[in-house]
Amino acid sequence: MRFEEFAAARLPALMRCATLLCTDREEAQDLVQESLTRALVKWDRIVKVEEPYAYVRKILTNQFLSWRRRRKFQTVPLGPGHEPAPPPDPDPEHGDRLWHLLGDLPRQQRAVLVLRYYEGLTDDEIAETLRCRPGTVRGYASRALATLRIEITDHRAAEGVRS
Amino acid sequence: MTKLADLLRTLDDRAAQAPDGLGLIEAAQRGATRIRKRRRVIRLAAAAAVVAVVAVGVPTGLRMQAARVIPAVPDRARTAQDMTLEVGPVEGLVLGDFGTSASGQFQSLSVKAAGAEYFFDVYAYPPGSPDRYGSIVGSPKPAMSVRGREASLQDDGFFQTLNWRFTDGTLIAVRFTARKSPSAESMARLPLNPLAENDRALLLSVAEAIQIGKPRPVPAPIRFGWLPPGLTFTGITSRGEPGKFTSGSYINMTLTFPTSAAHDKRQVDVNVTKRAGTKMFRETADINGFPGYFGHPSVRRDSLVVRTPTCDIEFLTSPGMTEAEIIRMAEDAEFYPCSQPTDWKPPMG
Repeated sequence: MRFEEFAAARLPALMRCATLLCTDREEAQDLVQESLTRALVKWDRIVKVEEPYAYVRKILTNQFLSWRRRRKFQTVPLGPGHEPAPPPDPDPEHGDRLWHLLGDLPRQQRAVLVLRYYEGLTDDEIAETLRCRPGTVRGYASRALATLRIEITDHRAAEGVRS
Repeated sequence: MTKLADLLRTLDDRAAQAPDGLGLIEAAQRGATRIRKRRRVIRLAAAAAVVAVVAVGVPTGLRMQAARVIPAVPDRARTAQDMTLEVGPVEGLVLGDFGTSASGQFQSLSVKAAGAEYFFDVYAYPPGSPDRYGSIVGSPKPAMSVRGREASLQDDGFFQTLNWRFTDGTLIAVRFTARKSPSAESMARLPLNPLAENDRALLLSVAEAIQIGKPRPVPAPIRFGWLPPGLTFTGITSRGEPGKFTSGSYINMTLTFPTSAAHDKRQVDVNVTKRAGTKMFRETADINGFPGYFGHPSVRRDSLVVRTPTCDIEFLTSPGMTEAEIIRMAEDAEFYPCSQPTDWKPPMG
């Protein structure tokens, strides 16, 4: 398989994964571009593995985790073709709040949630991706879920909403 | 309230808003071209530097090395397969996961008290190891005392960790990780700050039970024989109920080549589990009478799984190792029944 064929087929999936990891569309585009660049440099090796997509997703995840540079300023795209999508959340308030809480999680915890609940990976596969032990993955997930649950409960309790 | 469903829906909704990535493939191609060009230049520069170092630096370095003295850090003759960390009698104590390596040891434990269950992780680092807890940014460290030694309670925002050094310099850290109250359906993991007075007392009683004893080898269901030149045993971790091997048990042993660096991990992992995945693997000749399976689960590492009647033993190879080497390593090892931990032996020696 040629890199261009792979990239064309898998770009949407990588963009979705990156968007969930970064919680920012601009940063997600940067992340995917950098990951694809790295993948292309070592494409000779990647094309020999059983699942090139899994390998590139691993590059993407590790690239995301290694990014120490966080944007301090919002970038404003000046060129054409930028269209912010409206949030199609059926429960916008709750969905937005959950999304913001996700964005506030430490990067490892967020990555574990995305890989587990969006990409559908097992804890062992996530551990292989993040180069850590499955127990560590379970720890991240449990902390992340606890944080989300506690925070959501607190918000709801604060607003007097009954579940 | 289905919280997980909320999370899944939020992820799906937000993923649907991902940008289309127009032009990213072309940008990646341009970036890759730049990287390849830069690497060619770096390789040329490195080659020139190597020539210069060999010509000038090596003779100087050899002269300096003859005069250098490396300070030794004694750790009571402990090897990477030995534990010296011990927990003395505490009422309601149950030991859990543990591990040891050349650079440290850990032991998980729980204590049942007043109907609740308290969970702790204990870490021990050899004399001379850096102060890992002094630099954590957190709340001010209240001074405490453990068996007359000055200790500090560190709050990193998630956990409370009590740390101190024994007189020989061994650094001990006891981390309070969770509390499960009798009525709680799930464990309260965080935050546990500030500590209630009785939690603090329990943490201190666990800390005071910690001691460093004589080295005792950690037994395992495998004893290694032949190893590839340079490969040395560097650690063992055991998860699950101590003294038993159940479906949740997991033992990991690492053997490392001395040239291993953080960016180029050259190590063999030997994992013992109830059943390892061997999908897409091919069967090898029997290894010590047990069926073997060989496969390539990742790009850089191969895997040999030996299926014994009571567990699977997986050898995850170091990059660069051949199939013949890993098979020889497995064939030369002795396997003991996983279901009988009393028959296990230290993995080395």
